[in-house]
Amino acid sequence: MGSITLQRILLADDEPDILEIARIALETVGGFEVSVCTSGETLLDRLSEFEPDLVIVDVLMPDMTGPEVFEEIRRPEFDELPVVYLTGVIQEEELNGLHETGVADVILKPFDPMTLADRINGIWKGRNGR
Amino acid sequence: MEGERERRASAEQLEKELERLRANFLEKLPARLQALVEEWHSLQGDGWSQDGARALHRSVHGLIGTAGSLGFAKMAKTARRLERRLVALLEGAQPPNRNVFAEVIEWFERMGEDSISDGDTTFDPSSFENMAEWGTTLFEPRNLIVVVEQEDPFARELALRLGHFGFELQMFKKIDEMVVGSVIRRPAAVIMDLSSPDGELIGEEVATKVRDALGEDVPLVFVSNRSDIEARLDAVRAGCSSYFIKPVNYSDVLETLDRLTRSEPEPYRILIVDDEPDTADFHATSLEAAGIETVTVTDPLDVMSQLVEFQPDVILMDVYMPGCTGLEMAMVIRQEEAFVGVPIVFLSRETDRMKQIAALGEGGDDFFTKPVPPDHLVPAVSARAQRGRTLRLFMEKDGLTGLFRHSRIIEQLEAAVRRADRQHGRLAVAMLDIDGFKEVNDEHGHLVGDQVLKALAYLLRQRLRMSDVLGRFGGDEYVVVMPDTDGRAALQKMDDIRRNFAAIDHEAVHGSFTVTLSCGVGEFPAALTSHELIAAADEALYRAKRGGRNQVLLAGDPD
Repeated sequence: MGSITLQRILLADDEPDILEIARIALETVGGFEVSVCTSGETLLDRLSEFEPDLVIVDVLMPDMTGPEVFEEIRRPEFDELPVVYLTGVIQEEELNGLHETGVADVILKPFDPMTLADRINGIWKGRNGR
Repeated sequence: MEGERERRASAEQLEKELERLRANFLEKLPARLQALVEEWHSLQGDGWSQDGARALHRSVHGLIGTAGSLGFAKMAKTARRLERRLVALLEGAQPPNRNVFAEVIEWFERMGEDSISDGDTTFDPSSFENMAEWGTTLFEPRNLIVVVEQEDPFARELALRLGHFGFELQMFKKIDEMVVGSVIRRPAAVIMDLSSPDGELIGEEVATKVRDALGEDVPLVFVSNRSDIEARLDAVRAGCSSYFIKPVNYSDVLETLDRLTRSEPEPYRILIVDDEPDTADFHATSLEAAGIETVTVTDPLDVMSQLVEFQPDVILMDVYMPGCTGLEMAMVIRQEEAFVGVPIVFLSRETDRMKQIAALGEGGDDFFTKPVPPDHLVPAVSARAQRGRTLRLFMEKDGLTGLFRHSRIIEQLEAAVRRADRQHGRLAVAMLDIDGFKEVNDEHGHLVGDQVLKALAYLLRQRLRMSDVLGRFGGDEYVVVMPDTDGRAALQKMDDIRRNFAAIDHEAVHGSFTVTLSCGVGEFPAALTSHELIAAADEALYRAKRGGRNQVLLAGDPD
């Protein structure tokens, strides 16, 4: 954790199709090492083993929501691990609410697979360039 | 340089992968949608549960992201609209009625169609701008008309004319091209040319082929060059709904299609007035199981307000209630002109025949001893509701256009205002007036003028939603009440209709001509009462006329 270049991304979404699209886009264009899971619980379980540089998590999942996952990740042992929300929610107030939780950024679904890796890189650089 | 080449290579690689994912997605989609439709079916009636609906909502929500990210923008938008619908249902306290169920299934079907018709799958971010507002646009499933016609000029003319009225057309040159699966969705009618060079009678053969491909109950409209009785008999035996001889009169074709595509009748509405909640519940449950909508009032003093708002087809009323008896209530109801025709059925534990007859004298239509078993209640109430509706139709609808008459549209508007007020909802009212209608009558005669009036009525019916209420205010003035719609959206919709109407060719003895219309829109809550709404729309209409006609203006907006 804390490396300068972004290498490892851990991704959670309950929708297998979108998970596949995002994984392929991040691997092929971004050259990242990506690990995927279909629930927030699995994501938390895998954190210490996979040691991601960045986490992308879907907001609306049946058991554990994105913000609940984020709440857990905020704990000191994960040391400022950046979290990006993936969400289909598009009401302005809700979107503002998501930003206010303190996540690194929010990416809306549908997203463009071609530019997803660039956007994630941009978010990463924005944080590390401060 | 190296980096650039690498980038391009990886982009190509990703495009290849996406192509594979798209193919995969499309292959699995029909089964996936089918499963969702089945899930939705299982929620119908007694199966309704918020949890079930929420699970379905999540699946649809997921589809938006996947379809959109793969570049199926059209399908993603349709899924988004369906999502809005489901969210609204989840927020409501009542399980959805049959119409809503059918509507949701239609959305699923559209999603399947959209996935196929989305040719360009390049991701275009502008497709997803203002996504929050998608759900509020006025959704209109266009009526599909399938045309089988070998003769090109006629087919083109038909497509052009019907297109102006908002029909969607799918054309085939030969009947054999129209096989299972080739028609994009269930058509509202099939127009078929029966003319054959050697004058053969092919009606039955053709009808069988259509039914094999599209199902038993698709309405058939035949066009032929033969006017003899033999040919007409052949067509009737083949089960056609209408028969036109070439050259066809297009306004007759339109009238037929308008009739064939009128929306399905709404479920019957029954108001139950009974101070015993258990009995009321029992009757309501029996009726609702048969697809009839009910509202129960346990305090007779609430009856009048429910009458206005719920507009029941039949009132089921207990004779003995505290505060006021059923007989007294019936007399009060009958004093209101608007409710003179609503059938009232009395319920009582009474078996005394004389007392029952006395009740009928007070304006009741029948007398049942309660509790009424469902197999008696449902047919008895349905028959009365049906008769009541037919009678009302004659009283309420304008004979020429089939739209509501003046007094009735005002009542409907008042009910809509009350609903909007209570639900803090939106509501728009549009007033339309044909430009220079007097000149049309003077120049072409009243018969042609009537055609123009009818054309506007067909257009409004095709382009507006089932929940919109359409009326003819008299002369060449029309009123549209649009619930859940703000002024801007209504303005846009009416401007669409204005453009469509201006493009219609009206036939007259000396060639064809076009006419335009002007329209004013008022909105709630800027105008708060039915009176204010009409006045606001009227004022905007006046400005539209004065400002040069052929335009739509919103009340309060500058010219």
